[in-house]
Amino acid sequence: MKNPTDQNSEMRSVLKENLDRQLPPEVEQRLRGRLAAFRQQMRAVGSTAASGGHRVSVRRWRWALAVGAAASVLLVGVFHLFRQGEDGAALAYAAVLQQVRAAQTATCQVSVEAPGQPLQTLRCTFVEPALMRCDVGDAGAAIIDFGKKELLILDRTAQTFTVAQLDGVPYIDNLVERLKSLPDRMKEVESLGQRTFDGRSLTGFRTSGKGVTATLWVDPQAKELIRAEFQIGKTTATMTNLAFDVPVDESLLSLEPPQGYTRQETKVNIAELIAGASGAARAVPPEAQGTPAGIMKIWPSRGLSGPNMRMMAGEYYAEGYDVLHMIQDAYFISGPRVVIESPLPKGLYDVYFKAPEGHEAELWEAHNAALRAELEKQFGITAHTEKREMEVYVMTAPGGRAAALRDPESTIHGSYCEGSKYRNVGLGFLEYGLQGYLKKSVVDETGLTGHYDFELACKGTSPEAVVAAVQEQLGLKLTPEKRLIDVLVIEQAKTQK
Amino acid sequence: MGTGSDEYGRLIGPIESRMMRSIWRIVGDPHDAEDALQEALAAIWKSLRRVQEHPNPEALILKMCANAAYDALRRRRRRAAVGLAVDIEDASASPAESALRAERRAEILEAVSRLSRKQAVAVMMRDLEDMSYEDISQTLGCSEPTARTHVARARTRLATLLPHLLDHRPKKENRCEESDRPELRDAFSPERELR
Repeated sequence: MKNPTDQNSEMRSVLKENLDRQLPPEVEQRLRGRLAAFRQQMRAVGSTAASGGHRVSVRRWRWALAVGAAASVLLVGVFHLFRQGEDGAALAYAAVLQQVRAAQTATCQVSVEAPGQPLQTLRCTFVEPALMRCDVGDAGAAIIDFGKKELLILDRTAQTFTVAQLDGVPYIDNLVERLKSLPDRMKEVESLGQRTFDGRSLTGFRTSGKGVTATLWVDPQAKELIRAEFQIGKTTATMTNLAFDVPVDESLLSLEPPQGYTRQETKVNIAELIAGASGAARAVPPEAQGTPAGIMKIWPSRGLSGPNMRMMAGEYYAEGYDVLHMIQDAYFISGPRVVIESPLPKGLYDVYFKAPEGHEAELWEAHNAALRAELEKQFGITAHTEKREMEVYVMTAPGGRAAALRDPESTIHGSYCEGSKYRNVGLGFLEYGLQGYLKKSVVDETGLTGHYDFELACKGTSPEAVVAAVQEQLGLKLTPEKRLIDVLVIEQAKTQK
Repeated sequence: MGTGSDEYGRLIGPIESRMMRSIWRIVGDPHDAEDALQEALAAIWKSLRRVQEHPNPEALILKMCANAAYDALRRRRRRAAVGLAVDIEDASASPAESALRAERRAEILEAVSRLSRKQAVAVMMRDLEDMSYEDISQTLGCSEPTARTHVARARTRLATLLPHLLDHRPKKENRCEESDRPELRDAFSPERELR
């Protein structure tokens, strides 16, 4: 056993030895490009932003400078990402992304379709960094400051206004922010080809993540974003008539109510109103209202059949989870390694959690700890890890490395899997993925420690089909055996009535 | 309060190289390094006043860089990147040496991404940036003993995760015990877009 002090200093040496390395010139060049763009941005916006906290000046001439300067430098950088295998479509996507990210203002029409709701159309205006106004015809408007988490609702007919805090309604979508955060790597974007809208031939791109699917339709000639669709759960928000960096009357986005309007204490459900006004939002469910930060709230699901999760700004809301999945999340462990010695509560549950203020960035760490605590409190679930002899699939390579396991063509994109194509992956990757289908842990005894490119397509998802496909296509044998492995044992759980 | 370019020259200019190096050493991938730097710059921009008024703005900026790099590592774990580092290798190293180094770096970075944010940032600031505990405590907003504890715990945790590197033992062939990686689970669970 090593002395802890020796171990500590040895680990310091290991880190230094392995991570303290020179910045390669080509990487430095790229990073300097980013820094140069930032310097330009600071120069363009000047001291206004610096002295005014997080809010960038909204004077038009400064926007023009900022956008122009940043765009001229950043454009090179963004296009650089597409230098490999680029085509017109990728460049159009890159150009659109660049335009959107540099934009300080945006206007558009948003149509919201939700099950059981009439189609709602809003006229929306966005101003950086975090202001949004949505007009509902001539009837009224909602103005939201995401930064201050404040909301002003104007009822033009009654000439009244309502002020509210957004703390109770965190699932508001700033759709322009969503556009800005779309991935800039084409490998994360699916190309949809051409489609005609209103006589205009547009190129489509689709990307998914965190429960949201975004589809963009771009004019490849003009390199303009014409239409953006967001699918969030069963709700679709479609942005059309998009315009970026257009002049906006700042007073329209003021949280000060107009003169002549009187304050109204309303019984309107602010959450629902905002959900509609923002296009694709979801309110905090009533069950979670008032849940303090740092405390996990779990309650029986309202009938959703499958898991669905949203995470935003330090908050987490998941619907339709069973207890086993919650345990897997709470303990970061795969299903086959969970040993259930006491029956788990049945049914599906919804989960809500808000990270303590100032700890939004540590949402996952806090979430997992709180989930473990709540699982114990609400379901009486206690668990410990131990080594057990378990039935597993032992993966071996009887014939050594098969030709199907090729040397990686490229390592530049790390390790990943797209459909049946596995690229630059170690067998640990495969081993882990197979567990989901085989419902048992997989123990890799192939002795193959490299990273490989290969294809694996199964005819069906039954264990037999998977075992056969792995053997036929990769030359790897999966044999049911017993092995001593680490497992999480659920000692106790009380079932819910 | 100076102009924007003055502020750049004052705050960022002198530590440009350290920022880039700091991110690169943690992230080790050109694309992710770019993304992380961009995020760090955005964070600096958003908190410019806090940076300007901080007693040690340089350390705070480096912490923001370390934070962004740590986030990049975590994201990479979540998008199922087993081979964490994409290396632009030292031309003087043999292919076998390069492969070994890359593998070792990937392992270390994987382990770093499993630390808590504070531990990861603290140990990186101490062991890679050679920052004093006083500077680390200032930037983490904690006492000096707490900063020492973060660093010590991080090293202990890393030692637990990477015992073979300390012992200089050859890597175990059977990697079944290291396969419980939630990022991999997610890669094979398209129906659950959780992380």
